[in-house]
Amino acid sequence: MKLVLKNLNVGFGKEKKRLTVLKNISLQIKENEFISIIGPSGCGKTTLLNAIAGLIPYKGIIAIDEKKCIQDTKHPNKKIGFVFQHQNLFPWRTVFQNISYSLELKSLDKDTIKKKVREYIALVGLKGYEKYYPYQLSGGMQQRVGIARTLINEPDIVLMDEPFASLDKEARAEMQQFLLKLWEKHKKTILFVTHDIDEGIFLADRVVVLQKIPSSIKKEILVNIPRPRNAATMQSSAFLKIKQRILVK
Amino acid sequence: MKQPLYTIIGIGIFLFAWQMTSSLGIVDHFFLPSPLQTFSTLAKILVSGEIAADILSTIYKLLVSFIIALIIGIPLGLLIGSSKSIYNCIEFLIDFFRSIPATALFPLFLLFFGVNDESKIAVAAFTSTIIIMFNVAHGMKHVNISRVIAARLLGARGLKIFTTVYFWECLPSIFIGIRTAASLSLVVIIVTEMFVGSSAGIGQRIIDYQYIYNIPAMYAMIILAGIIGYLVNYIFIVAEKRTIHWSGYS
Repeated sequence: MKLVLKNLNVGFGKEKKRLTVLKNISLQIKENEFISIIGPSGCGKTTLLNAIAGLIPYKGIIAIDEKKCIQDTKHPNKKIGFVFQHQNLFPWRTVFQNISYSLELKSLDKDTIKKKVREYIALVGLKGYEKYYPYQLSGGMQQRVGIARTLINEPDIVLMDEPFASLDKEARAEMQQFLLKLWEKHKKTILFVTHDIDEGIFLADRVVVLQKIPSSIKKEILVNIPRPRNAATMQSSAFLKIKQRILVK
Repeated sequence: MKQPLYTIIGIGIFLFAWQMTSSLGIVDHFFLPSPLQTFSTLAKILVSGEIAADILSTIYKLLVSFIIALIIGIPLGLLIGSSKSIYNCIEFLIDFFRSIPATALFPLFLLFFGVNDESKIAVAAFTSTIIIMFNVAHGMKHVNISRVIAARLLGARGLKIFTTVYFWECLPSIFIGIRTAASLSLVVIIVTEMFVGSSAGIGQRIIDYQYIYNIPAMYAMIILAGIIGYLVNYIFIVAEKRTIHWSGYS
């Protein structure tokens, strides 16, 4: 198993005022599996990702490649890649410099960095935009930069926290297709958080449904719709059946 | 219509009103010379070179006090802003010292540094340091934490987080501090130059011309001080546009 969560509990606040956000979450995720996590807003989806990334303290076990993760919020897990809802690109850096950031930290030589960054810029379809600053790009393009910046660091697991939530409908559909194509070319274990059921089903191998706080797993549903998927997939009967199973109480 | 044209029209109306006030004798001509007379005096004084030393002296004091303020103010501000406890301890003190009119401190600095350029530089440097420090600390305190987290997740640790994220996050505040400090420094320097013991400086010239009732020359020096102040501000605005063109977006 790539990622194992065992009796994961997360709460905030002290003693009497303690608010339990995640309760006894257990989950097993295979290598290169695409998991969507859906649930009502405020149900702790983001909290779950933050715990897996090691950004917040938790109780229970998180293991990557059968190795238990050590908790240290100042030093989050480097094996984890995180794509955020709000583009938190470095606004003072160009597209190229944003993507090259993690490579610079590894002090690779300049030519290696250049070559690799070019490869990833091409991968996310941003050729020609190397010298642009984030504020000169559309929301969708900014997310592409964010995705490239994360992937170039070669994380074992990629966590995505509603990355397309702030995009308009068209850009959103385009980015979903883009992400699927990218993932099919470039397999990774992905945990994708969304409150959009259609998006969750469309992308995933498996959908994990969380319920309201204190949040535990309500159901797990296998999405056995063949790939590659496209816009027509969302109209297929298999798709609608899965959607029904998610919506049924 | 383009902005430069508006600016020229504005200046034109101002000069016309000034000329009228002077020509129609609304204000005694002795106290308010006409713009033509003022600017020709300014040109004459500049060409004669008699105030070159004064201009240089004022700019020198401005520059030295400014550099001192940068060297002390930025690191201190970063330090203060990086720790909540330090910031909370020191916030009131900074606010208090910021509220003391800089020139009120001048007699104190005269005591310590004597009646020469050093005391003027010291008081300007002190004022600027406080302002820069305050702005930098404020910027440091309001850093966008999600970008720090992003950097950590991408492998940044310790000092690298500071140099690649915190510093850049603070840069807009550093610029605000620098610009405010530079303007105030000029005020402080010109005022202190009017005190006893000055050997040179634009402030001293203004007061000297007033003493000898060379009123057009006094106006000319005031305008010169304005030009220097405007240029200092302009230089920083250009520098800002180049280095932090990205701020305000995100």
